[in-house]
Formats: sequence, C-alpha cells, structure tokens
Amino acid sequence: MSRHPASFRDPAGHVHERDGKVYRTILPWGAARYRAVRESGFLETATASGRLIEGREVDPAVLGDEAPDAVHVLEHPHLAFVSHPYEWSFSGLRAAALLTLDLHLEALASGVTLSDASAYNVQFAGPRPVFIDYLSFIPYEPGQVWLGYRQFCEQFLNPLLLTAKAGVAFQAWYRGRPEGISAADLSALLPLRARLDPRVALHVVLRGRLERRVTAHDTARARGVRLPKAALVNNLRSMRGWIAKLAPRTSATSWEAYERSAHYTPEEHAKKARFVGDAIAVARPGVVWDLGCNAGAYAEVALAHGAGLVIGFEPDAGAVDAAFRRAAEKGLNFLPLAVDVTNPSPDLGWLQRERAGMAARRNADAVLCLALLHHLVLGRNLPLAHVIEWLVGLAPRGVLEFVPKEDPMAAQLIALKPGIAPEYTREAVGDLLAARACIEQSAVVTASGRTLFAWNRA
Amino acid sequence: MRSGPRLIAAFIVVSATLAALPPAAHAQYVDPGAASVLLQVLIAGLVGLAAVLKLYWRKVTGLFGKRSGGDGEA
Repeated sequence: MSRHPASFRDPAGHVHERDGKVYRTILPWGAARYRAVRESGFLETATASGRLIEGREVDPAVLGDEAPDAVHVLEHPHLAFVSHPYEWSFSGLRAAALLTLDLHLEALASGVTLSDASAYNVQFAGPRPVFIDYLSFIPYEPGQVWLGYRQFCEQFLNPLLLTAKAGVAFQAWYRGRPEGISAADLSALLPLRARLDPRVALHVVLRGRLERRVTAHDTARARGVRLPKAALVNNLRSMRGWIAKLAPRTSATSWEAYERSAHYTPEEHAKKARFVGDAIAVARPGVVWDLGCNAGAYAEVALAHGAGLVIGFEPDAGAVDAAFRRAAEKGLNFLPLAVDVTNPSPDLGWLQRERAGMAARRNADAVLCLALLHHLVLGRNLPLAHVIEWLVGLAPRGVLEFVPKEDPMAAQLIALKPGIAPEYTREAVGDLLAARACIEQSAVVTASGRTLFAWNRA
Repeated sequence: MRSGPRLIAAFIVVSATLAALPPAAHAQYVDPGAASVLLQVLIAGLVGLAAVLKLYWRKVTGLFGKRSGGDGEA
C-alpha cells in the first residue's frame, strides 16, 4: 500500500507515495467539485504565487490497482521535510494562519471556499508557508458560512492566543492534543484582562460556553443558517487583522539579543563560523539538522557555504521565534522548529501513524551540534557515550562543539552539582567520536577551550 | 452595506436565544460545530455593527471638521 497514513479523512481523495513521487487521487465523491474549482482558475493563481503546492494532472491509471476508482490523479512535488503545527514557532503558526485566511479570501473572489481549516494542510518551504491540500477547496454556494471556523479557532487562533495572552508556549499542549486547543480549555485559564477583550470574549469565552450548551435543536437550526457573502468576507478579514497583530506576550526580543548572549568575542565567533563553513563547504549536504539552533546564526553560515536546507531544533520559544523571523526576513531556506532533541515528537494520532515522529522523518545529510553537548550531559544528565552514539547515528557527517566544564557557561550548569559527569572531557569526546567515525578536523576556538570536531563516518 | 441592518437584527435574535439556552443533556451526541455556526451570525452582526458605527463616527467627526472649517472662513 502506498497510501499516506494521514490520508483517510477526506472521502473526496487520498494522497499516495510511490517511487519517491507524491500523488493525489480524486475519487468520484469529489470529482465534480474538483473540476468546478479547477474551472474557476483559482488553483492556477494560487500555485503561480507559490502559496498552493503545484499539482499536475497525470494519467488516472498511474496508481493501477491501488486506486482503481480514481477519476483524476495529481502529481505533487515531494516535500523536503514534513513538520507539524505543534513543532512550529509562534511566528510560524501565525504565518500558516494568515496563509489559510488569505487563500480563503482569494478563493471566495473566484467563487470557491475552504471546506476546512486544518493546520496540517500547511507545510513550510524554509520559512515560507505553503498550502498542500487541493480537495479542501470546494465551490462556494451563496449563503454558506465559514465551514472551517471551529477548526481554525482550535488549530490556529487558540494556540496563538495561549502564547499571546497567557504567555504560555502552545507547543506542548498542542502536541498532547493534535486536534488543537478547545475554546472551553483556553477560556478557563486566560487572565481576566484577556477575557475582557471583546474578540476573545466572542471567539473563545462565548464559543466555549455555547459548545457546552448546544442542543440537538440548535444543530437543526444551524443547518438553516445563511450568511451573506459580504459578511463571510468581513468575518475572515476581521480575523486576519487580529491575527496579524498577535505577538508572543513574553518576548519582544530580536534575534540579535539571542546572539549577544552567546559569549564569544568577535574573533572567536569568526573562527567558529569559519570552521563550520569549511566543514559544510566540503560536505555540500542537501539537508542539515542544526540541533540547538538558537537564533540561527550557524544555520545561516551553513546555508552560505552550500547547505541546501537547514532544519533547526530549539526548545527555547523565544529563540526559535527569533530564528524563524531571521529566516523569513533574510529569505533563508531554514525552518527552525520548537523541538527539544531530548524529547523529540513521537508518532501520534490514529493508529499512531497519522503524524510521524521525528525518528521517522530523519533526513539529515549532516548535523550541527554547537554549544549543545554540555546542556545534554551536564544539564540533563545524559550519559556522554549515549549522546555521541545518537549524534553519529543521526547523519553521516557533522560538526560537534565541546564546551569544557571550566567554561563560564558550563560552570553555571554544574554550580549546584559538583562532580557530575566525570567522564565529560575533551579527550573522551574525541575518543568516543573516533571510535565511530573519522575526525576530519578539530580546533580549539575560544580562550575558554571550546573545541570543534568535524567527523565523517561515510 | 445593505445587509447591515439585517445582520444587526439577526445578532439581537441570536444573542437573545443564546442567553435562554439550557445546558445540553447529552453533550457527547451533539455536534459542537453547531455552536460555531450560530456564533458566526453574531460575529458577522458585530463586525457589521462596528463598521456602521465607524461610518457614523466618521460622519460626526466630519461634521465637526466642516463646521470648524466654516468658522475659519467666516
């Protein structure tokens, strides 16, 4: 079976992967709707602007026995990396929300509407959001309401509000409930000041209360509700205006502020950047995983030296948001994710196959592990040998930075636990690496003794 | 703008019915999406109301603007 394990909800069609190619079937149930949307010209405009993934109609028999009912089959470009909303930064989720609203508004102008508002229908090409579903677009019928309003609130608005109004990072909660955050749950913990905001009162507090009080009679009444098109457009525009202005409550920090805390002199930073740049220039990796990417300074170095795409992993919500903004502002092919490498995303959803965990998405040609090892070994008490084995297993090549215990930053980590990890020495790190890979380069880059190793096990 | 007054009327009707709603007896069997559909009418009414008020507000401020302009000329 080539069918994608997350593709089962929509009776209009499914996604298949075969021989490295991605196909979307359109089944009899959705064929007429698809053709009507295609005739509207909307799909062409949206793909031309790069906001909707390209889709080329191919021979419907291409999948043979696997999709004998397919009326149409589209071929889509293969995504370099699939990420999930609970891994995105605040700015990433906001960008995906705005894309969904913009496409909906654009679609309405062509007589097309969105049948849902799933955040999983958005993927990222670097920091640029791209809508990947075709069958969510259906012909608009006069009087139709915003069909995906509730889903939009749970998967976009409420997680954003949790961070913007309560100052709580949304990712952990979202991961625990991949369908999104409910209005009732959110309104229970928003501060009073936030709940007094008329928009919060309507979209969160009142919606949460209504959901609990709704009756079968209301369901019947809801079926008859008609909304003028102008009102639907106004609702979408008003939501767009609100979301565009939302910002994380805690951090107004720019990415420069994160870099300043790195404790390198300009010369030391230049030396480290040169080492990383040289290692990348030799390897020319298609995909680099930057573990503990902070605000993305070395992801940018890697891209400048020939890396095709960098996926960043950073558990600090402020840093990962700064990294995303950096990527967007500078147009870098860099997607920083709010993921802690010591607790990567697991397989989630239906049959635990719907949303693949991080292990199943491993695609790095090279890894960067800079200023992270001491956090794992000294800060999190992970055994050094386990960490090195995991790291070398992630990709055939990489750059590892060793921060000695005497370094002021590392010293802070062990101030209250003297004697921890006696095995954590430069020599041990070198020996463990050398036992698994060839150390191609190593250099001490700071006065405090920070050391870089470039290894290759290919 | 013609749908404005109709939406405001709908808003008043919906909010009055919502206030009178009893808690659902079998919440698991009722589609919570219904609440979001009904709420959209209310939101549309409020968004419309805000637009109408903004328009009137501009007219009022415009009126004062004109009068003070007229005073200046006199």
